[in-house]
Amino acid sequence: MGDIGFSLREAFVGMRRSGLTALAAVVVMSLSFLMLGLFMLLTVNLRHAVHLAQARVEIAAYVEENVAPDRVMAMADSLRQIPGIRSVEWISKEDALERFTEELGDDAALLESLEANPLPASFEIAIYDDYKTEGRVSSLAEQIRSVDGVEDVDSGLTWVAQLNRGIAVVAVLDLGFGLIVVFATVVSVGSAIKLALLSRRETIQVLKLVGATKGFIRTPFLIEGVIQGAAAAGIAALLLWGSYRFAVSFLPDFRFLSHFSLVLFVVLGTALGGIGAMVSLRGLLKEKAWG
Amino acid sequence: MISFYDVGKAYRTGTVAVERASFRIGRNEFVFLVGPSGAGKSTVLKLIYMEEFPTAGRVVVGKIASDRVKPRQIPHLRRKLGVVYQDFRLLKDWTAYENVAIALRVTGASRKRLKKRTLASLARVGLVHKSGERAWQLSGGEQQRLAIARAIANEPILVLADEPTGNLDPETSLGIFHLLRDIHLAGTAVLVATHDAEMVKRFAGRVIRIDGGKLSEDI
Repeated sequence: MGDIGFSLREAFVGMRRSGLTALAAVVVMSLSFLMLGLFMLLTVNLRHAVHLAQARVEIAAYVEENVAPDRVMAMADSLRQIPGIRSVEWISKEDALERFTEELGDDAALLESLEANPLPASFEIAIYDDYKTEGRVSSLAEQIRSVDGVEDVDSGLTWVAQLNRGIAVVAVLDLGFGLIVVFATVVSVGSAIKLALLSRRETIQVLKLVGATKGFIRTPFLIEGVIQGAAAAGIAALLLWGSYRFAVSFLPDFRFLSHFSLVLFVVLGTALGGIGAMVSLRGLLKEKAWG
Repeated sequence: MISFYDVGKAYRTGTVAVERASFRIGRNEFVFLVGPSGAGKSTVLKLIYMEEFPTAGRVVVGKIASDRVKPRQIPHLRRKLGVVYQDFRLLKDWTAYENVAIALRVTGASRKRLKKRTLASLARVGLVHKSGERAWQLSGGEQQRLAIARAIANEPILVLADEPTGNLDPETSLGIFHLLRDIHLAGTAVLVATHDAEMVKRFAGRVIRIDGGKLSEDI
């Protein structure tokens, strides 16, 4: 081995000779990497969304009809005593109606047909960040429910939990796609290498004849696989960036992969190219023994 | 240097190519291996450079024995042997220089040695002036000389030639035999498999005959 210049030159000669196959391998690999990348992107953004949603978690405690103002003060005091609660804000029936009217905007006229204010009074309860886990929020909700005068509690957590379950599903899909990508890459690099090997049968024959070691013969093919893997990962990363820019025009909060993930993505693609080459070389060079 | 001990070679098809062959070739010998085509000449050569292995007996080349050789030793064995074929086995779109240099490249030779040995080998066969030409641009005789240059680039202990003149006209063939003889005179053992009785007569030397896989020797 050791003759890197020769190996590099041979790798490029090989790719030129196997032309379309080498190109097809890169295209197939790019597409499978892109698929994986899109799922990674989706995962990252779902995680981010869950994070944001969790940060905004507030508990609403609805109060029975017609509670006296002094009882409201007492209730607020007992709520403030529950550990984990940061602040408590009183929203009277009137406040609630006012907000609702604002939210309805042009449709507010509908409310005029109502005889009485149908909205309940409530406390808006903010909680500390480290209490914003599913288990802790539901235990807080229980404690709040037990406060005298509280009719109902809405923790807004059910959909956060659903989102979390969604993420678990996506993670499994990520893994599945990852495996498919590994398989597709190894197969497509393998077939490109196979053709490269065939197109250089004579060279290999001569190399064996003059006493080249396996390593010497393999190196150019290995380099070819690595180059194809790197090219495919690079193309996939660019397409991924394009998809991200497109998504951002609809969803301004959409995030891209971290630098670390992106580097990992390209490194992984490159490595897969090499692995694909190695796998196919093992099989192909074994045929018609070395001796 | 090369010893065959009761060597037999039967192919999977059932063909027996070599039967109970025993002989030795010493350093600096010039040996003809003669016999009709299909007699097993090529098999004998393949057994020496270990592309084939005996189904009986053993072949010893230098310190390497066919029954004990490890696959990774074979490339190193090949570097000590120079092989020349009837069909040249050159890389047609490589230059003459590259065709010779590859024999040194695979050994990891230094740049200096690579250049020196490549040019010396090309000079030895009279092709230095064509070192930049592609192999396909050379005539048949020149291509065979180029193959010989590649065979001697690593200063082998033995040059094996399998019907080296089979594709060449008589005059060119004579040139190739002179070249092989010169290589021998410079200190390398040469084993030429041929069915060209005319040349064998002309270049009196040791003759091993093979017919139907059986070996016999002229005394």
